[in-house]
Amino acid sequence: MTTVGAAPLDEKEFEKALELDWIEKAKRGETGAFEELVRRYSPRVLNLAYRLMGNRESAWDLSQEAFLAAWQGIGGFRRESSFYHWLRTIVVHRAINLKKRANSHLEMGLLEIDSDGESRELEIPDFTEEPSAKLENLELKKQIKEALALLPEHYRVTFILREVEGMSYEEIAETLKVNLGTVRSRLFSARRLLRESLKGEDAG
Amino acid sequence: MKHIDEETLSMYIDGELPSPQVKMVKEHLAGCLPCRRLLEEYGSFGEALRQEEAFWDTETFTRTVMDKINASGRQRRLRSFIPAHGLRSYAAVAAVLLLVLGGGAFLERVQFRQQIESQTGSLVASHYTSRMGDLGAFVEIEGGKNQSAR
Repeated sequence: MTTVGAAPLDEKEFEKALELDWIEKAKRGETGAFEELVRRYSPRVLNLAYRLMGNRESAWDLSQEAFLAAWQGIGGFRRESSFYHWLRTIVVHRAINLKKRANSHLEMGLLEIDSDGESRELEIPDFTEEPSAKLENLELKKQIKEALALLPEHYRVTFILREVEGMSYEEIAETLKVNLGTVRSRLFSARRLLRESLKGEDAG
Repeated sequence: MKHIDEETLSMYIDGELPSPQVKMVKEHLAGCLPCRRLLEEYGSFGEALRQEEAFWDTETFTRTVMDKINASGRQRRLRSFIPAHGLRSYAAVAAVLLLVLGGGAFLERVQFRQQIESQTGSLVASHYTSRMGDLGAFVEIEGGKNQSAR
């Protein structure tokens, strides 16, 4: 007689199964299971919140709020997306609302460029040194960080989701509830504004 | 020489450009230093952002979040012990009881007043009806007076 055992799970599958178990237990009100989810995702959430908010204190508060909201709403969580994707959407929306309230005046006068489908002719500046070498310069990193902080909120959030979270245009569009053309346009505009901002600092 | 437009380059760096255009961009980049440099510059923005990691005491963070969740759970259990709709029901029952008792007392008072007025006249009655404890004796005394006067 032969017995057929279940195929052993690899590490990734095991972690996924473990997470699903925590989610189901958390849905039943088991705080210990939710604690495991907080422990697993707090580094990513805190870093995302830090980039979105620009300072540690706000990032800490935003992350706490997001996990509390996740705990309250976990009963409604469906497995259509991963837990982290669901949590990330909470973080992003809360960050946008907080920043909107705090910084709405900063965005006045800056218009979003809508996607019009037209190709733009570009004048390429003649760089005198390699950008990657420039990046090693701490001062330049600081400048990029400052320039990022000055980007209009919707450009900055879109840029962070793309560059840090590695989200596709489709995922960003879904998270921010905008169309693909808007995502494409925001990313292009964010990069162009960053470049202009850094060029301005170099000139100054 | 016509360079790649910024939007196309932005999509290229994000890996969102359709395949035929990817081929075209790659061919152009191979022979165009300014476009390659622009591409590198675009790449450096994201790189700077990704390097911006902060150190977090995640254990303290987890404990703080769980303390808040546990505290809100205790409050919720307390609320479920005396639910809001339960409190409203108790308040409604108490209000009805008060109305019934208050109305009964009022009616009793009116009946006593009518009883006294019929026996002693309205002036005396209005003076004494508030003194419910003395009512029995009063009725007896005044009744006796009336009888002796007759």
